[in-house]
Amino acid sequence: MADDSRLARPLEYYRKFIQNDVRPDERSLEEFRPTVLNIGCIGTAEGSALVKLGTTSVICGVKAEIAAPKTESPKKGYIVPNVELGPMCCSTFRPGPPGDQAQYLSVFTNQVIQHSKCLDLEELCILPGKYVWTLYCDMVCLNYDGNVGDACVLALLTALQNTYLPTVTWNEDSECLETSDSTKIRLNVHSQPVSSTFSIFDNHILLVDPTKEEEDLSTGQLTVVTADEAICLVKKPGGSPLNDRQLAECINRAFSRSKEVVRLIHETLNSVER
Amino acid sequence: MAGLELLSEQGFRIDGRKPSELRRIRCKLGVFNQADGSAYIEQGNTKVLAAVYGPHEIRGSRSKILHDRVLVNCQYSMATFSTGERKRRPRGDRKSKEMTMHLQQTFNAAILTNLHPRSQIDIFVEVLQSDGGNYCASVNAATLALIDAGIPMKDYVCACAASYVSDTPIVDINYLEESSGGAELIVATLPKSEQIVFLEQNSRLHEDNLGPVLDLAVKGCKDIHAVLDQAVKDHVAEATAGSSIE
Amino acid sequence: MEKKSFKARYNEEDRYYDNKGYSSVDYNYTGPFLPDVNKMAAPMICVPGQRLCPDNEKVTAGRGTYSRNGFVYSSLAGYLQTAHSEDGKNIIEVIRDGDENVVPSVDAIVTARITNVSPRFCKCSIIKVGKTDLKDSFRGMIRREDVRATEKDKVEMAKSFRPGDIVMARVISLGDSQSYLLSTAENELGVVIATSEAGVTMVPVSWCKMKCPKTRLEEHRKVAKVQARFIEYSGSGP
Repeated sequence: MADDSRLARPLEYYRKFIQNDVRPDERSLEEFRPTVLNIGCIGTAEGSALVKLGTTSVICGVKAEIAAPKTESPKKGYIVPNVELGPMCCSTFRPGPPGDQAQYLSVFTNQVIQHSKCLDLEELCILPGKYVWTLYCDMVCLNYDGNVGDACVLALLTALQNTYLPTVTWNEDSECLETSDSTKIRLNVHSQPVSSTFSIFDNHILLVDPTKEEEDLSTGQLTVVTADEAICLVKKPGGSPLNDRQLAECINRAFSRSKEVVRLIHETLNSVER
Repeated sequence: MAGLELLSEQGFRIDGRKPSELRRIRCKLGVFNQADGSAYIEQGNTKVLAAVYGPHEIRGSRSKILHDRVLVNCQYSMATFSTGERKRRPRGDRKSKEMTMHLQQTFNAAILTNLHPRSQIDIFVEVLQSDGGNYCASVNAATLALIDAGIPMKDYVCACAASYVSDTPIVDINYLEESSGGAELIVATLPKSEQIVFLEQNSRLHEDNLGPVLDLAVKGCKDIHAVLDQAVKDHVAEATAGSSIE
Repeated sequence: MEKKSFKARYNEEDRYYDNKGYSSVDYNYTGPFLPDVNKMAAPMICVPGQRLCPDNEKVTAGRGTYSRNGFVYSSLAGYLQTAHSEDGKNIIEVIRDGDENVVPSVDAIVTARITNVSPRFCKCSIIKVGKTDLKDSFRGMIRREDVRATEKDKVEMAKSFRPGDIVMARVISLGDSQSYLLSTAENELGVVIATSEAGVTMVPVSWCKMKCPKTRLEEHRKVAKVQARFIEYSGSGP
């Protein structure tokens, strides 16, 4: 019976491919899906980016608002990342309050920003102790086909590099804020965090950039976030154990991916500005 | 609105359009693979995505099940970055709830609901950028997504808004024209059979002027229909060309 | 006469169409009905709401179409196709390319995965209708009396199905509001793929037993006698 069909027996179906070092979508095991960036697509946001990782799509919009700083850090602005996995992007998500995965990703992106120090929060200060910028970074997943974490980090980073804030000055005489929309300053992004996710198949095979199907079949996951030359975050939430050689392999791949992504962002930003 | 001339002396609108001119429409079917049908539409600066799932098993409470027809479930959501001021709640506020209900009622009238009893069709609409005419763009996007999903419908549903400014009816109004306090008429039609499935009118409008404004809105629906129709035909032809190469 | 009554209806109920004419076929076309689109080089693309032809005793509105006010309209975006039914009518259909959305219908053959077995019935999730993969599964149920056609009272559910088995079944009714009612009371229906306790795919040895090739142990199942017409070669394996 030649019925190892994809639906009835996905694991057997996948094994046949993996034995030959290839995946059903014709990628090799250490290959990312084609990555497409589109920046500045949302006119109402201060910065925006649309990322397509294969068919996984995430759009990130940055909105800036003026808020009062905390008293213990009068010069620091805020950055509030939020990931939304609505029922639109995949049939497994239900309408209603954000699910566990969406909240996990929101925390994850927040950690990436903090640990990579890609933004200096003090640069978001307008008037110490009184006014600072709050950057709301909303990432909406439009199509969920696996590895949304990497897509979110990439969308966030690109959107931040594309963010222009209006110049706001404190007018001493009238004691109020004056904004000028004509001169906008680009946000300073100090480092470039890039996330790479690996899923573990059959307890020992590593698959880079898993699709939704691969995520569902995986026995574990590993995420490495690099910022320029340094490792900034490694996450391996349980699952099958890995040995140190495999871990080193993953980190190597993450660095090479990081170079690819940084070049892609650079090219995209340049092509739009010109 | 004081000091803001919605219609210039030469008869042009703020964005340079003629009173009976639509904004540029760009649309694409089948943009995502997870949904059974999806579409993206740009009407001027309003950008909307729609995704359709189904028909599938009833989700959530089973008491909603309809034994003679399909349950049409909608969700209208606006991205937090879609408006000038950041939106606190992308959905669930009253305006979105109202919009959700309107979409549901509109599409209940157009989908051949008796073909899939005891099932559910989900229509999810996400406004990515808003510049007036959100309902209209949502309806048009959802129509395309439903067609892409292959859900049997009586006809397209096309929606268009119109207003009345300085004795001139204007069509496909943008955010500025919408928020200027003038009359606003929103119509959704089945363009081929010229039936109106949804009509809403806000603010005061003289009875005598209703006719011209309504005519213009219905004409707008037809023009939109022509654009959507072409997009659908192109999409169908393209899909066939793609599959024959494979 | 026929022509006249059409015209009357046309004017009365569908007068909006007056000066637009027909997109495909003239309403007072009396010759052999409809051009044979199957033979044409490029089949006609139809869109929802498009009028295809008058609805009379010579035509039947098939899939992807509906009739209203004496005309047949398209309800899908796809290609026009006509076929001749046995009683000499033209069946008008609009066929879509690509995967279609299907819901299980009565008498359809479905593929399902057993999720839960109890002494009176077992529950399953339908993953395939005919040859179409479903994106979302539907719930189904096989009652004890529907497992096989003979000796219905001697059926033991635990000796017929196990959770995880892939079965072929026929939809007998839409069931209650919870799930579709399925039946395997035919030789060709029943378990097609099962995994033994050792985790190996078993091979059928009789209509009620399957054998594990590794441990040589036999397990009870309501085995389907798989016929060639039900097997679908995916052809995508390496």
